[in-house]
Amino acid sequence: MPVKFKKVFFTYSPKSPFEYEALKDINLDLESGKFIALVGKTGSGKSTLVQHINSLVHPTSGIVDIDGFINSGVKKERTKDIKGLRKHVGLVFQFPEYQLFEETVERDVAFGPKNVGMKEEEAKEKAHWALEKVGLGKSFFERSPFELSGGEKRKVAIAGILAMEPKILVVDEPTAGLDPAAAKDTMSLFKKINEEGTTVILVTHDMDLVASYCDEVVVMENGRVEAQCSPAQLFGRDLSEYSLQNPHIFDFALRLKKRGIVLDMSSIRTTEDLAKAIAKRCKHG
Amino acid sequence: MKNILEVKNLSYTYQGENSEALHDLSFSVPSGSYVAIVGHNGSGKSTLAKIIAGLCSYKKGKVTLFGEELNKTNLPALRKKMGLVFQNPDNQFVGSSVRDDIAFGLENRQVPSEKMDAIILEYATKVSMEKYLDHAPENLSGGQKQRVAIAGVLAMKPELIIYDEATSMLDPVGKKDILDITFGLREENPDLSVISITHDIEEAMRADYVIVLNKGRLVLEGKPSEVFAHTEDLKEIHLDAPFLMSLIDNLKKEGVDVPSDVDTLEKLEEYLCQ
Repeated sequence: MPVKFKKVFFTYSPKSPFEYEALKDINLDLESGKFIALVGKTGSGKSTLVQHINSLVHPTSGIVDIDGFINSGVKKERTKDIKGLRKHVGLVFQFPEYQLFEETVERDVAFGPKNVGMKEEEAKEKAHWALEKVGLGKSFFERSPFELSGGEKRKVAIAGILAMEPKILVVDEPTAGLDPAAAKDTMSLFKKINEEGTTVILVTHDMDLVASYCDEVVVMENGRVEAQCSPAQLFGRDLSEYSLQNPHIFDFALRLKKRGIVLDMSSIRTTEDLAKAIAKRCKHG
Repeated sequence: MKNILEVKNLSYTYQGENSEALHDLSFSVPSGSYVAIVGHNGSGKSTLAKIIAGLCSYKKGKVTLFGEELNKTNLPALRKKMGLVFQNPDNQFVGSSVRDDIAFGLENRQVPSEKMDAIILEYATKVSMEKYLDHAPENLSGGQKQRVAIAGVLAMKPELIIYDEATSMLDPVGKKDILDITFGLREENPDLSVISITHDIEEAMRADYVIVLNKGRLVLEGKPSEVFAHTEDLKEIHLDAPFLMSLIDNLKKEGVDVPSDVDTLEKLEEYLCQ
């Protein structure tokens, strides 16, 4: 499902003392099937941007075209079928575990599918499938979501979105507050979902995640899109102008570059890759 | 050097549980040091923090704080010497403005109100929040909220600050701010001790001493550069090695013989550029 932003502007509380222009002239093509990172400091407009993709907010002017579904600044141009859109675009907010509410894990996950009109049995099946996917087996189905650990709660919340089988999955800081092992688990899950054909849009501050998992990165600054490129292209330069930190591997490569050791960073994603490139360079002078 | 905290043969089992949350733990924290306690979820690190803060009473072992064995009678007095900062910045606000929030603890200690304004300004300035004194806490960013929480704790002039995952909900800039402020405070006051319960390995790398817990047991302890050199052991207990250690480890696998005294990125850069 491709997403196109055309001349999108968005203003919070227009014509009030709190008026604030959060998006300014956004023109953006997000291709189907990619793993895309959306980065930028707090307040740069990332969350406002993704909320346009499932029509939680409407542009003040301009159009967002989500594979034919139109979210427009002009009311009569908007596609009416919001439920249809939300089936296809899943949004996992920050700390989604705060939104769990049902008595059992199974019912919590089945809530979304039922809400878009699926029958009880079918919704249950979808819930089981989604829970399996996030690594929570049968023994979890009848437990209360509130007695689970933090990492497990988050998995339940993610399963609730996956149960809708979205074509686009937007995840906002999915690893915040998780320990490294749980964070890695979660990211591997999104990678797998992406490889099965779902477009994943990752909103994050963590540049190490961007370097390791994403095909493309969109940089936002002050309500505008400042860059759209591959992670390697972005991290080849100093990011402090966007108040972002380079991933550790690129940061160290930049230090070496300043000292005259230039590495080809285009295929480097992990510390292991970096070590190999340095070793090769050292051996061949 | 005197120890601000001594833990001896401490074991702890939660009521109704069969397995121990902490098993035979012994370590000490010298006054003026920054100690990072790391471990993945369920390692027992939060239980340990609760016991040290007197929020959980233990039966087996001995915990000595500021030279006194922790018990119900001396807990209130000992607590006055320590400050706690928790994970979720939204759960620790009591005041309707930054000023009120910092004032809360001072009022509890009956600081005369004519002295209070100066104290509030002093500590808000230490965490660079002096321009926000009249702001409502809910309008601050996560990092700003944690800075206010720290100011509130500092105003009590603690000898020991305990961070329980205090930066884990913050973005990288917020995280760095908190750490820079904390390290800055220690330069000003070399007697201030910090115990930080954390997942953040890069933070632990900056500590004086690191304690690694797994399943309630102490598995590694020592200087960060020593502890984190055990990259394989860390992997086994689901902890990442810091970037520096992981890079050195991978370089060695590729046949680059990095000397053992390389313990900073600067030194590694020097070595590779020779």
